[in-house]
Amino acid sequence: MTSFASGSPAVEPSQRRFAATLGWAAAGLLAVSLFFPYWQARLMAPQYRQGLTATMYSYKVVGDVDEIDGLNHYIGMRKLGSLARLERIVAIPAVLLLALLCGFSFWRGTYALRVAAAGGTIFFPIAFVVDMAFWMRYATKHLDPMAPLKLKPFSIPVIGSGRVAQFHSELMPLLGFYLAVLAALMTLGAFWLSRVKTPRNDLSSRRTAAVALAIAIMSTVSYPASAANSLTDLVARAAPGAVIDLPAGRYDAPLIIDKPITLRGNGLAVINGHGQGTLIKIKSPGVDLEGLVLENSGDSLLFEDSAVRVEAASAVVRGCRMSDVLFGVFLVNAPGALVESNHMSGKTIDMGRRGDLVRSWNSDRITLRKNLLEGGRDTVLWFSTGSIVESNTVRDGRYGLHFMYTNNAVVRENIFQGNSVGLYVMYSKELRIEDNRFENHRGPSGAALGLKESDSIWVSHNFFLGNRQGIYIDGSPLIEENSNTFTKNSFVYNDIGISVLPGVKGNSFFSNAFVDNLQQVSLRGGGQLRGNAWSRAGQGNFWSDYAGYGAAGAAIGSLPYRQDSAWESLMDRQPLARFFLFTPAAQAVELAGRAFPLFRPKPVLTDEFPLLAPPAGLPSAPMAPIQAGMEFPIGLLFVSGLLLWIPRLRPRRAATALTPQANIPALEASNVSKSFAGQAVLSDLDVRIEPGRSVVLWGANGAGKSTFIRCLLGLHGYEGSIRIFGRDAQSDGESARAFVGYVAQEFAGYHWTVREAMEFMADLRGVARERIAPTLARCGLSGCEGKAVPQLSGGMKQKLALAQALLADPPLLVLDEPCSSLDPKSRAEFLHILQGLKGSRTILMTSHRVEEASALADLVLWLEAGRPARLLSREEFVREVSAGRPLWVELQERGLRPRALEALAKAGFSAKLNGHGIWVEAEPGRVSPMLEALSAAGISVRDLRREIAS
Amino acid sequence: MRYPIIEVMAAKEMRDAARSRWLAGFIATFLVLGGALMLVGSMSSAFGGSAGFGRTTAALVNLVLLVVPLMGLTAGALAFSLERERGTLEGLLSLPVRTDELFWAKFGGLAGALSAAVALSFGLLGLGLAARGGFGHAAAYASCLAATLLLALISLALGLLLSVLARRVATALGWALLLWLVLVFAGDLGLLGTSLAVRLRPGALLAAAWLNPLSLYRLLAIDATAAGLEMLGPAGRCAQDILGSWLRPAALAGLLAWLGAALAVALGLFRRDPIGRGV
Repeated sequence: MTSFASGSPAVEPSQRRFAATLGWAAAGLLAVSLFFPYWQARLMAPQYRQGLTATMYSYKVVGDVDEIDGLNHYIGMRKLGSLARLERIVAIPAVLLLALLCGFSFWRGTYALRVAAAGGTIFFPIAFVVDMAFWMRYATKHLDPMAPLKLKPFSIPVIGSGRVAQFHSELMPLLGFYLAVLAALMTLGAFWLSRVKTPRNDLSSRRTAAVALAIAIMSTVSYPASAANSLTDLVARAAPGAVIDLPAGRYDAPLIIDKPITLRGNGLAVINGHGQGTLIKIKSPGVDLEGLVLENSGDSLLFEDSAVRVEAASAVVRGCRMSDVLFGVFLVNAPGALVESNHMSGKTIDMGRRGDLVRSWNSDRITLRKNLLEGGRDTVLWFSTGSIVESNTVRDGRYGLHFMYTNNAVVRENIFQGNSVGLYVMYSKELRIEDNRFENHRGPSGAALGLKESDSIWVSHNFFLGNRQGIYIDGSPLIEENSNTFTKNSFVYNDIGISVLPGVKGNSFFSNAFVDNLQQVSLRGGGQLRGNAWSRAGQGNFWSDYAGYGAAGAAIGSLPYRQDSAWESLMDRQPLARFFLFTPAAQAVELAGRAFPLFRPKPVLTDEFPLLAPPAGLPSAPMAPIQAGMEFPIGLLFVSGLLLWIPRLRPRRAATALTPQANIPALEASNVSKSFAGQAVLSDLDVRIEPGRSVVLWGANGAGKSTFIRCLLGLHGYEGSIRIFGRDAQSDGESARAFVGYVAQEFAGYHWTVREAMEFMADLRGVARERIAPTLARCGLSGCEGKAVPQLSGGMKQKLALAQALLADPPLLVLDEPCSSLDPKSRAEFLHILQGLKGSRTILMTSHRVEEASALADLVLWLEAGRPARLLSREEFVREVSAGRPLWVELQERGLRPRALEALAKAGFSAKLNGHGIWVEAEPGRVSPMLEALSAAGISVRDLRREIAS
Repeated sequence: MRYPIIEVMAAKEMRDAARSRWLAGFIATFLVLGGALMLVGSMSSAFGGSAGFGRTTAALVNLVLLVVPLMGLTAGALAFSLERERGTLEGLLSLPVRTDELFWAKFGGLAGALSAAVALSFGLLGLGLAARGGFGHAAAYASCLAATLLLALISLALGLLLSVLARRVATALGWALLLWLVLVFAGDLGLLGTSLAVRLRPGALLAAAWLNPLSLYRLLAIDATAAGLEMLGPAGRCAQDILGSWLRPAALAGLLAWLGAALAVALGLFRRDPIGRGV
């Protein structure tokens, strides 16, 4: 014991022994505390009637940890097991070490050990609480931002009760903690007994300090007094049962009503929350709020900032207008509340941060009637059995109406529009859902009515229009015998009429109308929907895609309705395939399913008694007026008529005609070469044609006559240069062609009349239409204007081509063997017309007929393969080609050839038979006498040409 | 570019097209099928009024997808090949007209005729729909019409491209039918099979829509007439999430790119070889 006494004033042995005893007792308590829980947290919620409990030992957490972790997951809180890991690991050795220290130090220990033991033992329970508080704060302030439910960071009191959303928390110390505290007190006592006696300090000053500290502590926990405003005063002064008519004006929230009064605003009393907290709290039964304007609540989801919070029975909220509020009417343990004829609109913030415009919590027999709720998050009824929701309009929210654990309720005559989900029923039973309208519930999980694990639901006379899913069924009914019934509902224009998860059984559908839904019934994942009835008492449903038939006057189809679409089955199994909806490819798949039984899936459902017409009295959308939208299609018809009529208008004339400059060659070709596939057709052709000259391009087939023509018209590319009245035919082709009128070997035209063909050319070449008639007359086509071009003879077609070419009065007329397909008479007529044009313009014509060349040409450009082109005068040409060359004549009637020989001999011509024609020796100047001789003999000539060797 | 010349030739094209049997045939086909669908859909209107996008509307979209591209492709395919085959193209080119002017006149005239046909068909169908009280969304109908016109022009441009390449009518029409089959059936069937076989991501499937103008048209038409693209499953939701309000501009830009590309290639080839020594 020397160490105990060394350097210290003497201590009584009895005291020393008692101190040692206390030390060992404290050590024992500490050790025993390990076997008892230190702290307990209970979460109370109506769905967890027994509450959830987490019990904390110094080294572990037990109880409903998994359930709590499951709940915490939704708000992004960490699992309990992940918190204070180090502390829990060191707890047992630390406590045991501390216990040993306590026992030993007061028995044999030094002063320093005693200080350490006392300090450690006192520190231990404090440290436990502080550490627990730290981790609780850490967990509630560091929420996972990706959690399904977004909550602002919150805090839970370490001891006592608190609230988080709808959960009520109770935290309290338990035996283990008390043992540790007792051990600390005992250690403190042991330390006091073994203390060194010192003179007493100034007691009064210590007392003063203690009082000051107490005041300071008290001051921190006292409530700040709020300044009373006039509204609060009004209510405070009112007697229970009083009716307060608020004068028009603006009032400041908050207001707490704790006595049964009626507060009326007549639509003119405005209570403003200034963005802070809840506006009105009702804490007394029998409070009526009527005609108030409530605006601008706080935006804390954690504190459930509301326009009206009701925490008492039989409240009435009627005719109020609530705007810019997080929650509208929040009923908590408020049975029998009536919320009627209110207009509530939520805050314009993200959907996830909005509140519920009506939330009922544990409030049976409430009535929501004739309210207009828009722009909120949900309308939720939790544990509100026997409630009535009728004649409300809920739109543009998330869940138009959400039932949780709410039984025996009625939902009727409501309108749900544009929410994500219209009505979602979860874990509820015995509901009647009647005469409601569900429209346009879209989005990834869009559904008009959803049932999850809900039993004995009666759904009738509802109208489902344009929703992504009309009805969505998941695990309902939970017990197959508690069948859900769907009857006399209309499903129109929904993406999916009814969407069912696999395994759903016990639903009965009859007397419904499924009209024009893109998919009438969908079974997620594909397969067959078994265990559900699609008819009752011989009454099925009306299916707009039913392809069966019925006897005259029958109401039921003779064949069952089967939904066995291959495409829909594919979509059910492979949602990605939906992307190809409405494509012909999807139709091909569908057709394959119908055509080949191998591809046809088993039917999702079979309605044995399909109705041939919708049952009477089904809900429907109001018909649009008959004239609705007539203006637009009429306008379209007008536009289409206009489009078709405009071309008949006389278009602007295109000014393509040009006047050639004087003293410029009409055609000048320099070094023109053209090859096809390496075969030279034209080689270094040089030619210069002065204006007014008539030139015939002469040569055998393949000599390059037509090629040259096509080159100058820009139809072929070439080497060298061709200039037409100074314009380059290649680089300035359209200008060069403006000087040209062109007649091809054969006329190619459209199914027009002669007049139309001429008008097109007149408009294109910028010529007045008045010139059409004289031009036609000039070409021998007078009176042919109304004739259809295809009905013209070959000769007339060529005349028309010539008329078109002459219409713009071009200074250069280009003709490519224009007479090659004409009979002699037509040829003669055509040549006669051309002869009339000589001198008025430059004429360039290809031909291989001597008589044509001799009749028309001033000059002849002789093209021969392998030789340079030669430009000859007409006389030179005639001499060269005609000497000794006979004329070949073909008769109309071959049998007249002997008579023709006789007639020609009489006229002085030498002739002989050749093939199916006759050779006649006739110089170019004697062709006409030769033809006259034959004509006099009554013999008609089909063709004649001079055979030349070129 | 001299507009009076284009005007004259385009008017000629429109006149010829208006007289042709193929245009009348297409209009008649469209109206008969559309009218039949309208009668079938009258049951829905009794229930849903004018509000819905149902099988009838979907079938109309389907009808457009089948008929309009065929109409545009064949009109385009005939444009130059027929002129070549009957020799009139040479006659036109021998006039003081540039190849560009002739090309744009062809396109303009045929585009006008096609537009008139589409407007006439939509107008008559619209009258029928309105008469049964089922036509109330003029804006959606107009959007659908605009998208259909754009689709018709793209088909026409693709047809012109084939026509420039082909020397004979039969060849051009054969290629046009083959292209129609690819765009309407084979492309989607191939993509469908691929997407299911390799489990394409919805984003990739959505992006593939830009490879086929018909898919873009379908997206536009559904977006204009239906409540939302989520009816197209994960890829439709992907379109809403990724593109949001940019979907229409993006789809329109895609369609315009198709139109521009087809016209540019066709014009380039026509400039190079207007007479056509091709297929």
